[in-house]
Amino acid sequence: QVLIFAGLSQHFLFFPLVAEFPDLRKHNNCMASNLTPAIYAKLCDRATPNGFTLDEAIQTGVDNPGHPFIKTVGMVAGDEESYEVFADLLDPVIKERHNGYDPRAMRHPTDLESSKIQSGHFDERYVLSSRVRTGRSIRGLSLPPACTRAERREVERVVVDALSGLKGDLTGKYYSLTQMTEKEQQQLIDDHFLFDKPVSPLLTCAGMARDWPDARGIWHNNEKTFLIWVNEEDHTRVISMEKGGNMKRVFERFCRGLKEVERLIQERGWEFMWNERLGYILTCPSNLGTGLRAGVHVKLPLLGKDPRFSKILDNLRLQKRGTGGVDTAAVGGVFDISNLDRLGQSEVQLVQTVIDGVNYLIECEKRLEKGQDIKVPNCFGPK
Amino acid sequence: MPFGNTHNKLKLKYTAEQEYPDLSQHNNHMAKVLTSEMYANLRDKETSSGFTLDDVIQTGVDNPGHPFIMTVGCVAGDEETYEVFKDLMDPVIEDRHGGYKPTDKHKTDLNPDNLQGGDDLDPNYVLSSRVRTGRSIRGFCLPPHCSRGERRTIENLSIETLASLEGDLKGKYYALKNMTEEEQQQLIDDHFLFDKPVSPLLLASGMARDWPDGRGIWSVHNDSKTFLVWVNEEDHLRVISMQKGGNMREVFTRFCTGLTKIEELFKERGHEFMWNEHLGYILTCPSNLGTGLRAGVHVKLPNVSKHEKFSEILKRLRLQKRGTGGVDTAAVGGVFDISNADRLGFSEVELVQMVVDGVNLLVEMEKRLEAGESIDDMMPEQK
Repeated sequence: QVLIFAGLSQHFLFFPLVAEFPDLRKHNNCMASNLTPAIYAKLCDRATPNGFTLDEAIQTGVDNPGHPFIKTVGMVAGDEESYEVFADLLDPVIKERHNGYDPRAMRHPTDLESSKIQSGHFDERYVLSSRVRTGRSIRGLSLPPACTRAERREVERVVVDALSGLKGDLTGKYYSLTQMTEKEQQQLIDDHFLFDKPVSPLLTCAGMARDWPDARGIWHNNEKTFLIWVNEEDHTRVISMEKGGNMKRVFERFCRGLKEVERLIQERGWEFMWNERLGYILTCPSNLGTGLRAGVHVKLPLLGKDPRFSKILDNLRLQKRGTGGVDTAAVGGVFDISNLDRLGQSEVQLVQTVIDGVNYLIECEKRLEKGQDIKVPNCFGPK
Repeated sequence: MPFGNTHNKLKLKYTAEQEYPDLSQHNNHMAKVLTSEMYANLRDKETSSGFTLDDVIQTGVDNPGHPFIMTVGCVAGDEETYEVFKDLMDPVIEDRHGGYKPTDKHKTDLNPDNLQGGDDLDPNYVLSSRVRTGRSIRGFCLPPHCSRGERRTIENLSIETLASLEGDLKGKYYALKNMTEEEQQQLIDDHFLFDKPVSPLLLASGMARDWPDGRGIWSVHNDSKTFLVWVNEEDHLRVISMQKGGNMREVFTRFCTGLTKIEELFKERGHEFMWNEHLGYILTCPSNLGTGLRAGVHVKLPNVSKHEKFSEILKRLRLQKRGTGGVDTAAVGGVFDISNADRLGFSEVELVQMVVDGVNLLVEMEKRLEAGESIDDMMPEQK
């Protein structure tokens, strides 16, 4: 690994180091919990080969102190090398965020063999829709917080070119945010596919919304079951979904599509960012490993009101969100239920966890419907 | 954003065309002026603190603008920006400041004795009078680019310097991150408190980084005659003098006395303000060069404002209207904020004179219209 001593220009070196250390006394995020003055002093004059610095990596966490109940990550990577150059900070952040996963000692398993999935077809009186998403980054190009316009356009070109090679049920079309027609835009909104310029300060402070909407777009297959976002929070976000409860089929298409896209970019001389310590490399450390969130929209009106609901979810290694996604509330007893973990377990393991967990939740709901009692399951899997 | 200094050099491996921003939807001064040739010529340059062309224009790329309101679309990161990126800044300045040429000289006049009248704007119409400007401390980077250490140094310098003001200019500093709830409420009630910028025009340039670190308000409490200084908001210092009623002369006198004293005190400590004879006082936004001065009143003009020639009258008087919430707000109850439209190419005294004379005329027009008489014979010449 090459470290370049090429940090801040001479001008800034006049100011003593102590004067540069951020005031994190009111902060509650993983970066603030782990950044000591000693670590700052060690890393502050380094830059990755692309010129990304510590201050840029932590800016979002400095600008967004966080919430007493919700602990955000508080830092981002600007490129693949960030995870090496700033390892003294990123390793403890990763460990804290991913339940003790130690990037120096452990290996992350990647497994996209969907045939290993057991059951995976939910009771559709309860499960309204099923979805699996992840992200992929193109090796050699900087990530959204740091990329130049030319790099971002290159990501778009590489990805769109590869996607044009998809066939069969994966045949589809790309809609560039700068060039889509009003009609196309409306259709994408109606399909709930269109993503907009990020408004969350967690994202905007990290610089990932620069030059919007240049080189951003949406690709989806004709059947509207496989969708790719280009240059939003990551180089690509890959989504497989459908109405109903056939999670197994959703995951099968997810794996097939991902492998096919990987093959197509490799044909053109590119690869995804991946290593055996951290799995797939993405912008936010919270999405390392699988980057995978597999979830359902499921009707749990009774269970949702039960005081044991949170504990049950915890033990099943699941998380609830409202049906608008992260930071939204549940409406009409319909919850978005998905896996908590991202790193340290494979894709197959995480999807199986969701399948088993959601089946358990549905059983609980059915029991409550009949006036029967429910049990909080034992802690599931590694803690 | 202060990217590491290798970041710009690495961009050069892409062609200018690959990096050139898409400005096809844009309506701001930067977009009107920045051709792809100009981009190619300027993109390998940096100021000595590492501020680059992309840093200058980021806000203008991210904010395409409005068909009716022409924003500037670029900022300075330090004093040198106006030299190093002259090829871009000069035409932007010329366009924004009524044809001001690169060879023109700007005059500074902070002698309130040179103002004629201004002490008797009719208080039945003129509710309040206010003069503001900005000042930058030479040798430090400006808000879009400064490091935390620089910003804190500017704050400490300002606190120390302002603490030596005496007599009726004696005041107190309230750091944004340390103020008590009580102090905060008082500052809100007095209409002194400034908040973290929400305007994307400001956020996109990076000036809200590390909020509220290094930011604060210094103020004099002197009956209701106010003199206050904002530290590290959109500029290093914003200096404001204001009071209820129509005695603009008194407001301006206190403004000049205070500013001159502050400048003296900074000089005693070995610091000067950024100033040169071509651009006058150097501030973050090119629109505030020269005097950086906005002298204005809140004035009741329910009749004049509905006259078909209102806009034309203001234009000829070289005045501008805003709502009473300041820039980008609407007038409420016929009360307008009327101020000078110019900043550069006229001295402070000249600009305040225009406001005094112009507002006096507008009030006379208002009285005529109230009495049901015509104002056709009162139309001013173009100043």
